[in-house]
Amino acid sequence: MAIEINNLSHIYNKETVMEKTAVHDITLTIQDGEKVGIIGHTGSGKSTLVQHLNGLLKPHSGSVTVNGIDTKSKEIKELRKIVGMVFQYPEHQLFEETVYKDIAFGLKKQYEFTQEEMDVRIRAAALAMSISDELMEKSPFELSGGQKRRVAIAGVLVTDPRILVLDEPTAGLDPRGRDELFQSLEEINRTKNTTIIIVSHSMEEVAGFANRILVMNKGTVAMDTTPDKAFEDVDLLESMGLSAPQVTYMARAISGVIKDFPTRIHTVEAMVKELMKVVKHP
Amino acid sequence: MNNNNITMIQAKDVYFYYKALTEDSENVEAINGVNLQVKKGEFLVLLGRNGSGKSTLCRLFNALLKPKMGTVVVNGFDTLNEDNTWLIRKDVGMVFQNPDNQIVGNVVEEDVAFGPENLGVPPAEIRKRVDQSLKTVGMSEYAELAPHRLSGGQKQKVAIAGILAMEPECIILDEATSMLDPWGRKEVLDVLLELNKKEGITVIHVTHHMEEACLADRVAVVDDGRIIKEGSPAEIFSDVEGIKGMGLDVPQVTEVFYKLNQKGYRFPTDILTVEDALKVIKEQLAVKRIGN
Ligand SMILES: Nc1ncnc2c1ncn2[C@@H]1O[C@H](COP(=O)(O)OP(=O)(O)OP(=O)(O)O)[C@@H](O)[C@H]1O
Ligand SMILES: Nc1ncnc2c1ncn2[C@@H]1O[C@H](COP(=O)(O)OP(=O)(O)O)[C@@H](O)[C@H]1O
Ligand SMILES: [Mg+2]
Ligand SMILES: [Mg+2]
Repeated sequence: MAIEINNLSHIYNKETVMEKTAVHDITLTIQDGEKVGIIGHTGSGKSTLVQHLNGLLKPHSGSVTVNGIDTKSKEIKELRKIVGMVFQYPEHQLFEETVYKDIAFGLKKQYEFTQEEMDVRIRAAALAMSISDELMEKSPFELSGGQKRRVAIAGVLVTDPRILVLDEPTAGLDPRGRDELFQSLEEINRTKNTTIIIVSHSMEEVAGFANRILVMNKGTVAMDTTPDKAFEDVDLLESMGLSAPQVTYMARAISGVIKDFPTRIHTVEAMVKELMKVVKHP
Repeated sequence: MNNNNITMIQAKDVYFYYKALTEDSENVEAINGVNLQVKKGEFLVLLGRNGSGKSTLCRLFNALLKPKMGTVVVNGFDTLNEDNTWLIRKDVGMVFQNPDNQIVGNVVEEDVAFGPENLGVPPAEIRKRVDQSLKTVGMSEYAELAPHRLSGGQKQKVAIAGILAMEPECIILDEATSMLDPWGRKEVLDVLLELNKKEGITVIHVTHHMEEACLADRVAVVDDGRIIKEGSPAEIFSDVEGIKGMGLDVPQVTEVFYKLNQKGYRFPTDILTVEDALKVIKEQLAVKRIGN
């Protein structure tokens, strides 16, 4: 079981003056339990690509198959059960009377659970996104931007999909919220072998989490690699509108004054370790 | 331009709550006693966790919301006086957290023209301003497109252009860069810094990106509807534990030296940028050479 994408192309406003090829001839396979980070500049085709995974968009040419289901087939309902999707503007998905009911919505639609079973799941999803009991009884309209985003993510976590796709989920989350989201995803992946696909602008953000990085550029997959390898060529990343972590730039600057200082550093921990080798202890 | 001691916005003992939606629920206390002076020409960054009150504070600053207690005075005008609302909105332009709440036009350039039209700016001047502001944010080639076809980041840029076209004295950006990619964010920040440094435009910027906060003259940390910390970026971020305790973060570079200091090194605690880092490393090397 896996996601198989074969020669996928998608064109918006086909055969009009506004015609735009958003995704061009992409072929790749994602196995169960992988943690994939998709990064790329604005307009590189990330959202277009991932919206094919739950059949929201259909290929103009090529095919997408998820656990054996062709997304062009009639089994859309089954497909949506397998693939849980947090959209780029999840706030638009909120409409119930209370936060609690909003998180519950996805469960009601797809599964037959007892009231108690539902309640346990809803509270667990809320906990994963640090949504307080007090917030649960509020209307989604009474929430701050970041709180709305937490609720929208919880509303997808609660359905416990086999494949979880999140399109720029961290925009609007505060730093602790970001850390907690990644911890929750890590936990879900570890305990349930859920496939996790996360779209981001920031290499730094996904590098610590993903075991595979897809870099998108102008509608194609320009790199399919590991986080370590992806950082090797910072100039290449920059030429695709991305940037490296601050510590990588720091390493480069230091290598100008300390001969042989490694430039392939992309975590704070690695930088601390390298500096301890060259800076005299007091 | 140096306007250093003139007040742009003065908040005194401000309290605000959102009214309960139903009879059996409680009011939401969002701002609980804020005192803050924003000086003309200042670049202020507001930090704080989700739900801490940043957006509410911004809305109080341009008279979208009125304090329940205390006062907000903008450019000498009290926001509680309805007659002032118009004057205040003319001086203080705000870009919202979600651009969909802001975009009104069917075509990008119409949308950008909307603000100056409302201010009664003459058509020829509007044309000039629209072209200029779209150029400033790098969106000229999208002038004739429908806004709903744009990506999230592009919508944010259009919303920013709409405010620039009004030429306000003070610009408030409520997480207005959250959906931009790293270069897009840098472009917008560069524009703001230039307006701030060259034309003395006051900027209030809400962000969850700590590197952006480092560009500010002053940072104020909002928590539970109060301002719990205020100071230069160096002052704010040198308290690494305090900042993390508030659910926030520090720049990576700051964290590197913090961790080294925990291991017994004695680096300064106010290193925020790659340039700062390089400087102290060079100093270290110099000492070492003399020592040897
Ligand atoms: N329209 C509203 N009606 C009722 N309560 C609201 C409304 N908007 C915000 N609140 C509440 O007011 C408090 C402050 O919210 P605010 O939007 O100012 O936070 P924020 O600091 O901007 O958060 P974020 O980082 O998530 O954008 C929160 O408790 C929030 O739930
Ligand atoms: N609904 C749409 N109609 C027309 N063009 C679109 C639409 N959505 C996206 N596009 C265009 O397709 C390209 C890829 O967009 P998208 O997949 O949203 O990129 P990303 O998610 O990487 O920012 C962009 O050029 C964008 O302007
Ligand atoms: Mg997108
Ligand atoms: Mg807000």
